[in-house]
Amino acid sequence: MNWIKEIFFRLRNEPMGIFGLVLVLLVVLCAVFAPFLVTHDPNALDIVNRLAGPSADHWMGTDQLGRDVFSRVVMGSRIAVWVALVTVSLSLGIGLVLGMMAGYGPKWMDSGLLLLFDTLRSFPTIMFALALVTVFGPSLQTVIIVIVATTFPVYGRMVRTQTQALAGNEFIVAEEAMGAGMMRVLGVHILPNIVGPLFIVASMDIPVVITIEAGLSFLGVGVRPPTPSWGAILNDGYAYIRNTPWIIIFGGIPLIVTTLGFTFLGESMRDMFDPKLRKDL
Amino acid sequence: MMEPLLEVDQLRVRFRTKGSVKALLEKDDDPFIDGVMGVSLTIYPGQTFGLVGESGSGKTTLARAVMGLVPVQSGAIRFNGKNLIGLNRGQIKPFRRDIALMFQDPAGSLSPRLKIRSILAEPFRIHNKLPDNLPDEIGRLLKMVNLSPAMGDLYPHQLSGGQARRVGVARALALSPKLIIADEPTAGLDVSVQGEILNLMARLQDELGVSFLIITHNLAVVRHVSDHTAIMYLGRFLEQGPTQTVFHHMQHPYTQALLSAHASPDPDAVHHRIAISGEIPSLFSRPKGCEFHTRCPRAKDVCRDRFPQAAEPIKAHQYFCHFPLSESLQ
Amino acid sequence: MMTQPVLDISNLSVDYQTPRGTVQALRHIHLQVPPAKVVGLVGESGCGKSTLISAVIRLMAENAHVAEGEIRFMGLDLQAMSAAELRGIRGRDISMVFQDPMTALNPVLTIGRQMKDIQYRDPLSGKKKRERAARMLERVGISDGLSRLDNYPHQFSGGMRQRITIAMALLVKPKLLIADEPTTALDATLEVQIIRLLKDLQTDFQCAILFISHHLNVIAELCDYVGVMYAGELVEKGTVRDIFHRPGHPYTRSLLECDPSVIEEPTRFLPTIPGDIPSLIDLPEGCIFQDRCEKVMSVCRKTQPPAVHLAEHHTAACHFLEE
Repeated sequence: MNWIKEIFFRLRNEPMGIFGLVLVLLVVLCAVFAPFLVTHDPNALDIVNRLAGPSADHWMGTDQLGRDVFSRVVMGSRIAVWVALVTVSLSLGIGLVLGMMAGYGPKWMDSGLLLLFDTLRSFPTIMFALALVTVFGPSLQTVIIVIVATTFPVYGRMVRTQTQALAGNEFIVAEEAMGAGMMRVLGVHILPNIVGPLFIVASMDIPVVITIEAGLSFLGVGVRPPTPSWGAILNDGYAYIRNTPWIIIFGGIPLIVTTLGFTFLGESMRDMFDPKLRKDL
Repeated sequence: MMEPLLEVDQLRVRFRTKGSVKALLEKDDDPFIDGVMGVSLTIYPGQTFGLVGESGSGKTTLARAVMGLVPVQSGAIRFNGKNLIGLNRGQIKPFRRDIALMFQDPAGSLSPRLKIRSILAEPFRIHNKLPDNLPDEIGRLLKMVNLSPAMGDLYPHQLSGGQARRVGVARALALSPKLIIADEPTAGLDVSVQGEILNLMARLQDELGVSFLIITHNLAVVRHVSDHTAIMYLGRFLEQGPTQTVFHHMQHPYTQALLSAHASPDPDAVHHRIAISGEIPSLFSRPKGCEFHTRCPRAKDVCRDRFPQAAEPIKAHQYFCHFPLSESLQ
Repeated sequence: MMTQPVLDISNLSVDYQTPRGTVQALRHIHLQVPPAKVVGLVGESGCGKSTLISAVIRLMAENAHVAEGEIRFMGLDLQAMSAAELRGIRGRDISMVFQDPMTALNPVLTIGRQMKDIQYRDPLSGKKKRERAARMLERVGISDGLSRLDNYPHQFSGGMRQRITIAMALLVKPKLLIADEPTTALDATLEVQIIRLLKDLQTDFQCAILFISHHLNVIAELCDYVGVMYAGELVEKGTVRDIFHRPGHPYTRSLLECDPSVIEEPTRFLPTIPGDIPSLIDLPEGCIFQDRCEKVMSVCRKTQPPAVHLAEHHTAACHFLEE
């Protein structure tokens, strides 16, 4: 657990990082403690009070079916955090492993993996999603598979380029000269040097992923109503914007908070991982 | 008569310049450039071999080939009698304990995100030979190169050039190698501290009996620290032999030019400097015959036609020249 | 010196402000470059040669400033000049050659274009400028000058690029050429050629040269006068023969002894100067070389040694030489 302590210790020097961490924690804690934070049942209908503005009872107003927007937003954070973390972690993980192998391994491996990356990247997300839906049926799992499959090639290519750039360095040659195998070189010497910039890219992707999920849910290939994902709330807000602006405003704020939080945190963590940039050394 | 530790026999290293398809389309039936062309050398236990060459001579390629880091076209590399060429990765691995490499760029050869003690632990980890007390062993290695054990907690970028260089020596010593290949050990060092690293290497040789292959462009240094010297140009040895023989009875005009370029600084000795013209040709346009003919003050037609054979292949002092210095120009 | 020196540095001290304190990078430098003579500056890492050059051309780092002293070029006070006046001098009356030719060459312009551009102050026609440039290229040993003007820097080898920068530096007919380690990155056999070239050109163009290098044999061959720097001070200066044949300062003597080419008998253990240069923030009292000098006496630790006159042009700052 030493490295967690180290991260917090180093964050002291990064005010933006602290701000980002606070926002991220806000969102994550909201997601974790969602059932305790909701004021109403997110799916409880109250047609009489539909499309109402913010009030003492409904802090963020109600949507077109009278459901409490605040409770829906809070529950939505669960889905958002879950989708974001799972997809980005999986994507990053797969992209990292395959990218390093492509960048450092034999040429045939590189060619094969590049083919995989470029093929997957050329699939339009929506078509791929529709195809998978006919096989697996619409659900959150489908969304996750689609997003992972279409985003890991981007990480893969990035990691491949960075690995190639590092592979010619003298310290890599030194390790090879001592007899280090591919796994050791990749895991001990290349991985720590490329992981930094990846963090910031990954953190920028989190709000993107949430948006993709929203789009897919809108098309009916993602979460089905009445599940309150932020994307679904935004779509409702968009449909009823002439009746009330509040749904779309309150649907958008969590997205902004999440984006800012992960971006600041990601940038600070990237700086922390580079021994040369660390301000405390 | 001692058994040789390292024997390199007619080593050839080539680099591909075009893929096979492109070569076919461009009707290029030899899409290669030669980095090392038929080099032979022998190093005995406890000996220091100095390999002198300027940029483009192929000396670093030769070192990498001996370490098995570059594929070899033909020839043999025998270590303690066993030919390393043709062995697969698993079979070569044990030999990597016996031959260690010291790099020209001291800080660049140290993994930037690892602490020095992790870097020094790498050889043990790679070969699964972790000592019972690793911190003690690391401390011992650092002390051997006159660094304090506290350096173990630093990162490479926090060290001075001289300190990083010595960490490189310590790492090379970790598994008690029999041969250390030192690539430009004095590059970038001030003259007043050059001696420190060379003296350290000499002391280690006296104490541990390790052999050195020192690769450098500085002929003056080699004269003092090596038992045997070879002069390399564009992938070939032009002259080699016991150091004192090469220096006192040099035969090749290039050797002579190199020595005069490194001659002792004396304002009055200026007139005796031999200046050769031109620069080293690119590997892509390798001159025919003796590659040095484009710059040699003694070159004649025959030099353009064919590379000279060894004067007497068996002798210890070999040189490859149609018009060696001891003979007059006819 | 009877005639006015081209460059006259008197009592120059330069400080750098750093978070850890004030680094006294140069202290009380007195150096002159006579017209049409070559003055060499020799010294090891940290001696301040680069700081001295940057002070002369007034292109110092942000945190550096001249604490005291004067730098006069042809009698003019360089410190007092405006930026515009300095720009008028740099690249015409004072020109420079650096270690890496690519610091002076623009990779996306042809050599011809660059050599024409630096002649912008001359009222010649474009064609005439090209011809001058071509002749200059041939003068520095690049044959086919006119056609090679259309080549780009990457089409030349390292040695040829350095010849081109020398050609460009001399094309403007400067009064002073400052060369900062111009041959350090080149092979020794090539270095010999470039130094020969510089010597010939200097005789033809009669410009003064301030030449910085840590290669002693190059200094010995090229220079008329030599200054030896150590940790920010000019510890000895004199004619080239004074320095190489009769070195006075213990540092100069040790430096010459450490050069492996000087040592006659092959020796297994090479001489070194043990220790490191002292901190320039926390300067020791007394002589700057005290911690590494074999002859150190108690007076060395208390007072700064005065500059002792050993010969007409030869001075060294050492207590030992005071008898």
